[in-house]
Amino acid sequence: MASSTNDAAAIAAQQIDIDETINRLRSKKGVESVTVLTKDGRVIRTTASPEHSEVQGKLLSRLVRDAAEIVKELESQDELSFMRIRTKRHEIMLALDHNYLLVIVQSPQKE
Amino acid sequence: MDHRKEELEKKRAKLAELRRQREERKRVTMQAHDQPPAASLKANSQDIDDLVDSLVGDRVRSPASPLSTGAPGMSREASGMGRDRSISVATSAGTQLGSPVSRAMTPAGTMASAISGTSLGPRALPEFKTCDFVVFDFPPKEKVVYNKEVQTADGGSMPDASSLLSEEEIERRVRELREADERARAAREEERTRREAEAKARESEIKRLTDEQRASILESSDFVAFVDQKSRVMERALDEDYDFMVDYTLCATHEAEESGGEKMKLALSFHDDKVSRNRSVMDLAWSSRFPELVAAAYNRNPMAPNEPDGIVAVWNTHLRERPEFVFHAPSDVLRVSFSDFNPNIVVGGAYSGQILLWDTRAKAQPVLKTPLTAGGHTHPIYSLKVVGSTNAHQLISASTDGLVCSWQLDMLAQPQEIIELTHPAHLRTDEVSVTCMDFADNETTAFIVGTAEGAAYQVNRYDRAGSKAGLNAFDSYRAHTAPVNSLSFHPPIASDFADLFLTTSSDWTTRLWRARPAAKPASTMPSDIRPLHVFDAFEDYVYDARWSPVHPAVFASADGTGRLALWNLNQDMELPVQWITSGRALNKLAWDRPGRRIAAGGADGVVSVYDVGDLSVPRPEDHALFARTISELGA
Repeated sequence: MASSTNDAAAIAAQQIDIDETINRLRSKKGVESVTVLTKDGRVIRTTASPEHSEVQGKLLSRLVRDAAEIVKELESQDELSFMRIRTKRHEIMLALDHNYLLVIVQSPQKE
Repeated sequence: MDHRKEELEKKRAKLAELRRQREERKRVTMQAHDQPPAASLKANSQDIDDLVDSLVGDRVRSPASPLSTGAPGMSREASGMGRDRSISVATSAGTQLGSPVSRAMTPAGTMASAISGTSLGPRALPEFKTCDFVVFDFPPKEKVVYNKEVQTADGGSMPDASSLLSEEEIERRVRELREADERARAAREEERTRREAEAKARESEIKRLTDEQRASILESSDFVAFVDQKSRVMERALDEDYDFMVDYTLCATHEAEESGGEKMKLALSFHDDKVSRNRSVMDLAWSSRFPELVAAAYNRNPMAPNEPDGIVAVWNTHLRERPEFVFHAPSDVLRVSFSDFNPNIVVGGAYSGQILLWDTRAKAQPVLKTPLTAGGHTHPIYSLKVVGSTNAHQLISASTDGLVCSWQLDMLAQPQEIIELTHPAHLRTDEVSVTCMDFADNETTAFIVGTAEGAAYQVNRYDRAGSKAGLNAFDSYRAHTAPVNSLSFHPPIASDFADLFLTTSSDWTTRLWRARPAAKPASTMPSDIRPLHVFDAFEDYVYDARWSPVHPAVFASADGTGRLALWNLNQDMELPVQWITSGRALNKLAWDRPGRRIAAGGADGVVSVYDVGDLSVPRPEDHALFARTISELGA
């Protein structure tokens, strides 16, 4: 019983940690949104509007999947781990592992 | 004779007629479908065979026919499997070819008789004997045999049947097959496009997590690890100030930041409430392998008894808001050092007297620590140094009770050697309270310790010609009137300065010394060695002074007023050339390896990294100039 409450406390602490981390990233200069998704594009946490994040997740997960396939095909031992997409107005940075996807949109015109 | 001839003639005619009919039939069937002829042929030959069989059967059933046992193989098999002792009689009549009947006669050794109607198997003389056998239903095997007969009959006529297929017929069939193929392919194609469309539809619809799913993901340890790890990557990427997409032709307003220059300035400062709140920086060390990593040791946080007493945080200059690694210690960490020979290892000396060893690949707890027994240190360790080479290096530690131990880094259970430093001339106790120590470059057996009484002494680790192991009490670098806070040998830039060292003290001074050659036999009479120079432009305790790793004449000092001062002995012997005051007491400073940055930390727990700019870049003439300066001082 005691251990389960400890676990619960630890989990709660983890949650706070995760939220803190996300907020810290969000508060960085130039960062517009921070979103954590599952690999298939389901939103876990986001600082942007849910609707926008869902669309973003849908589209980016497709892109990431294709990119991962390309990387695998180019060299079967290799693996995609990070992507930076530079557009005229934004920069999208994607970090991923087997299950999750971290997306940060920033405007590179830092003042 | 004639009669016979006539008969022959008739038969011949009949045969011809038959042949003709056959030909005609063939032609007819050929023009029709290909299946029917074969079938009719089959039927035809079946008829004939039936006829033959019935005839043969009749013949067999004639009174003259001999009795024959069933297939001998069968009875053998039966006896082999025998469970039931009985006599078997297999009766099979020609008319019952399809299903031979095995009938068990009553046991008790009655004679058995078998009537075999078929001509199957070798015809053997009837031979009766008792045997074991099992009653079982014999599958209609005969049918198979029968079919074979049909096939042989068919085989003869098949080739010409196929060869007789007309060209158009073949073409038609090929076409048919091709069409069928085409249809199948089209169907497949359709199916695939349909499935793709479905997948696309599925894809385009937005997927959402249910609350439970989200909760379980948020709790999963791999998700926590993912956020932790990848957010670091992101932060490093975000902290990169340079915009590599910058277009210099467009950004006319882009201000060129003054870089380097002749000014020392604050580059960044590390502070994390979770790590350094209410703590002071006790020591700083740059990693030799990763020039962007700096380790900071912290003392205890008196406000948080539940947190670990000692903490070591490894900060990354590319990751500004939180440490790359945090290590815990059961006691205040007073000294920290990266192992030069293993970039993953961080060594710390604790207030409790323990030496702790952390691995960046492991968790926060130390992977190795020394025991708190009389075999090792039991007093605070203010001095740690890894000496030696890649393959043979040792950790030398000194505690405030005058105990110096050397350790093998992978075996901290007990020290390799122990030297107890004693000074016989001390008043109450002969203990020597070591507050700092340093080895000259390339020297591993002799070093100098600074003590709480204010003097510095040379220590030999081993007996040498003319000098014993332990503290050399005769040669004392006695000048400070308060505890020596730090001792720093000149870095390995040039061998002619390798014997210079700096001490800082709570008596508000820093002193420059030239060490007595270690190889020279120790004096037999007590002799005080005078410092080469005294720097007294301080208004508080001087806690630390470190030589620049690249410029022979430059060193930096940190004092209790929070002033980080940069000295260039070639320019000024009395005053620092540059200083920055932060308003909080500075405890430690550390140059990074290229000599471009200084990390300084103090009472408020903040680690500040200063850009030194070009101040510590040596000019070609600096070397000779410094040699002259030193010789002037010595004179």
